[in-house]
Amino acid sequence: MIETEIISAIRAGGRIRDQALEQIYTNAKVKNRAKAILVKYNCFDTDFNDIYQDAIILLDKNVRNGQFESRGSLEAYLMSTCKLLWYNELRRKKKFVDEEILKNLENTVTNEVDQTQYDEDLLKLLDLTLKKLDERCRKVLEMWKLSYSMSEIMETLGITSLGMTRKLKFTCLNKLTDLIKCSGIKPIKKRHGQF
Amino acid sequence: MDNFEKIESYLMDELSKEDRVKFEQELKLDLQLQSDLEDHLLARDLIEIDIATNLKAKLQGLDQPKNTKVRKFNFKVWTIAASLLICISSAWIYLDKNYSNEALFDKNFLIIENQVRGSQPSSPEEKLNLLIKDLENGQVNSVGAFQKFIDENEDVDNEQKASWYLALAYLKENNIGKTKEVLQNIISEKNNPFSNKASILLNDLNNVWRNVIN
Repeated sequence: MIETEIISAIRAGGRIRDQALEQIYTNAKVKNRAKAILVKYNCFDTDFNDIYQDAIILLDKNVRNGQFESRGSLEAYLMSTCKLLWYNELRRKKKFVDEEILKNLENTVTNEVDQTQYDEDLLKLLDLTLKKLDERCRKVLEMWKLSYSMSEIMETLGITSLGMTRKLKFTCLNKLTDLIKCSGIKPIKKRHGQF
Repeated sequence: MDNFEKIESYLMDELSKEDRVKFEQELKLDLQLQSDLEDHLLARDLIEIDIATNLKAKLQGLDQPKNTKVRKFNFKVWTIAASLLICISSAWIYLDKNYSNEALFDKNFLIIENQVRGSQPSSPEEKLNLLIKDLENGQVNSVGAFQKFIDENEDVDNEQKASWYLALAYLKENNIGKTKEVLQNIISEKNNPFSNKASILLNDLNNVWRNVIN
């Protein structure tokens, strides 16, 4: 897949998204380039893998939510995301980091919002709500959010009709919003778009 | 349409332009609708976290080398394997002790040796006894010596005895084909006193277990 096809595949969702993400992640050339950049800022093996995975997750989310603007190449986007994520990570570990390295990195990162760190309330809410749903409900909601077609969801979960699949998605989402209401937790979170 | 459906249609961009404007106006005034919408957005955020967690696990899985599965030590399997190994070793020792060329030679040679000791001394017999002693002591070319004795000897008893030892000499040299050939000749002769022993030895040589150790 070429770059534009990868982006279209992620936007399209479903199984083709999985293939596209796997293709980016397993591209040794891109990964090694990212590694070569982050090594300069003291980011080594385990940390690098973590950062690179988070960069792919962020790319996936931003492409799906329409927040990815292809001003440059996908690779360039990944590199700047990696730097941003590592910069944030270094700031969290401030006492272990050379100030000069931090400053150098700060000059290279963009102003993009790092959405890989979640508010504690949101994580607590996750435990009280989504994690309380059964596996089938979680799967149907995940697939729906990833733009899997209703027939793909039906096939994957072994549901007998499209109508039943739609009903299951509706019921599960309803359950989830009810659990959110009952939890009484309202995390404050920066949002893009909508308001 | 209740709030849940309205909000879902709004978020899924399924409302007409007019309905969308109407919904947004309603939203400004209706606190409950605002709260419900916030819950819907939260639900989507939570699903996104779940998606990110699952994707992270998938990516970590891609980093794992495919052919280096860590095998758990399976005590049961190893116990069975050890037991099998012991059984095979024991069987091997048993077969080697009973069916090897050397074992069959020792078993058959000793029995006849007693008979030899009881024989009356005479010139061809003494010569035969010497050849038998040489065979016992591992002298080279016993086969040739017995063959020569048979060719030159005219006495039937000595010839029958010498043929039996010729078979044993072939056995000692691990020439099983010739051993069997001589034994079959002994068996085919009427009234040959070594016929029974030759049959037993031939059966032992044809035993299937010998194929395992040879």
